[in-house]
Amino acid sequence: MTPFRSEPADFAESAQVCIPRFGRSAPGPLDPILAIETSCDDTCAAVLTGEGRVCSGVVSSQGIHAAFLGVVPELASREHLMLILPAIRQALEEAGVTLQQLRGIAVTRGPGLIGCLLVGLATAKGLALSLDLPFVGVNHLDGHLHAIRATRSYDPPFVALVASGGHTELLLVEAWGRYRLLGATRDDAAGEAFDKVAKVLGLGFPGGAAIDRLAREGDPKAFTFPRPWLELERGGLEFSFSGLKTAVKNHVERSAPPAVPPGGAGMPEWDRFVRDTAASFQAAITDVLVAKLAEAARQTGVRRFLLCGGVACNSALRERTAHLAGRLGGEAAWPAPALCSDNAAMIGLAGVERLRRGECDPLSLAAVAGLEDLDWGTPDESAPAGFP
Amino acid sequence: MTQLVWRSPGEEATIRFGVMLGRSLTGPAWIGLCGPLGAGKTRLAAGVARGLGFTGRVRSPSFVLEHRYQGLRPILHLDLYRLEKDDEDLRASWEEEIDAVVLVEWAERVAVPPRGGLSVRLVPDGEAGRLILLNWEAGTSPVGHLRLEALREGTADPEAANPGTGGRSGAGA
Repeated sequence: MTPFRSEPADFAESAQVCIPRFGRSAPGPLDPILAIETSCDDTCAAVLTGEGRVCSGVVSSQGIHAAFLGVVPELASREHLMLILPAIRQALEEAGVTLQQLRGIAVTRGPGLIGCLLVGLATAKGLALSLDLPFVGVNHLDGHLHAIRATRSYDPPFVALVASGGHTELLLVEAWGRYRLLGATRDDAAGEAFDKVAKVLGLGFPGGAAIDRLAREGDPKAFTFPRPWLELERGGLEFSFSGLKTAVKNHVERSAPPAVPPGGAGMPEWDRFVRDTAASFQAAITDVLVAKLAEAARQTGVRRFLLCGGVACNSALRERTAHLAGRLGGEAAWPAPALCSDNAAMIGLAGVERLRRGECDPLSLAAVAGLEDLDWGTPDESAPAGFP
Repeated sequence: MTQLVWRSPGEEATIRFGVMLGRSLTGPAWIGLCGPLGAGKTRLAAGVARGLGFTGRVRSPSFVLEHRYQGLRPILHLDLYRLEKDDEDLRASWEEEIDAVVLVEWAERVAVPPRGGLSVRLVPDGEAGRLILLNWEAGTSPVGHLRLEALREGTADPEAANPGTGGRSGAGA
């Protein structure tokens, strides 16, 4: 008996499988598209138009649910199940669009938690099937790269840094859909280092914004933390933030006065220590990130930069990247803060071009947990001229 | 019930110990990694994955909760850093992974580890050094006996031939 094969051999193959839609044409510039993102613990839905204008965006953060204690993959996927339809309904209502008016669906297919991805993917497939709509699977990181397009046009080539709690990837974006991975973290992500340092300093979770705020009032030269260059002088574009995190933790444990109240509130010396530690840590991590961006620019000859992911909200990183771009005679950009963290609008922006070209993924499209197993989409050369 | 104590002078040795441990696994296993922030849990997990033949990147799953790798057998790399409280549902994360080696960081947050689970505790010992303590229920170890002896002697891995990096075995207490 020949084994039945329900999956295409790989994503590249499946991406070329374009089922012609009967009775419906590809979405036009003003037609509404639904986007869904459920790769981790935020349930996100958004509505945008075929020309990439974002009409609404809903992010249901599971962390704020009182009944929800901590984050367990199994629980996160169940929460998605409960939140996904209300999120979609709200996104449609805010955009003033009905289900029947939709002309396409874009959904995250990976990387992420497999059980969570499946909720979004199955929802998208169910809606696509019942409404006879085309749907496309989107790489989550491709989504982060496209978030900038919600507010402005920013066309390749550029060097992109995707930095969040789960990711630190340095990419050369040659064209939309054509990416070259230049470097990535070997251990902790940049956003993870921010949040773990914030926790060590008693600043709560997530703590990236608190570090940013306190660092402005602190002395970045007060303490010297290691800069993990990882052979930068020989062109190394990899990252490692685990040792920096541990160095800051050891420094805090050595220096902390006994019985510090939570956050050290009301103790001027401790407050200053926290500010100086935050500033010194932020200086160390941005030194590394910006130096790697500069080296990537040197190697590729591309002097334009894009910051995305949650760490792109950090003001010091933005300022220093803008300064670097200015020095090189280039340009730097980053998405609006709400679109730096996980959201569905960015998934829609990354998927809408394929929908406009009349493409559709097969209903057998699988969710993919690992980044390495995921193709980076297809080159955009056949995109309609003038998009967007 | 400490079964084995190993002294690691630094990160590289911790990874090597993980490689040895990975090579010693003769079947599916559940390995809980305990220890404070920066103790080397992710490093050790990376070593185990490498010892199981996985050649790709092993990164901290603190924020994405889990990573999956394919080595000689499937590897599930979980992280409970963001978990505030043990939950019944936590078990569902590994109950169905009957063929896999399950690596769980921040395993001290698991109230009831699965039967036959191996606990690896990393205790800071000076700035860079770590004491690595292995615990398991007698008769349930996923670490084969012959290989276990090799692990005890620190000779399971040719890369770890440096006599200064380990091999300090402790008697069961």
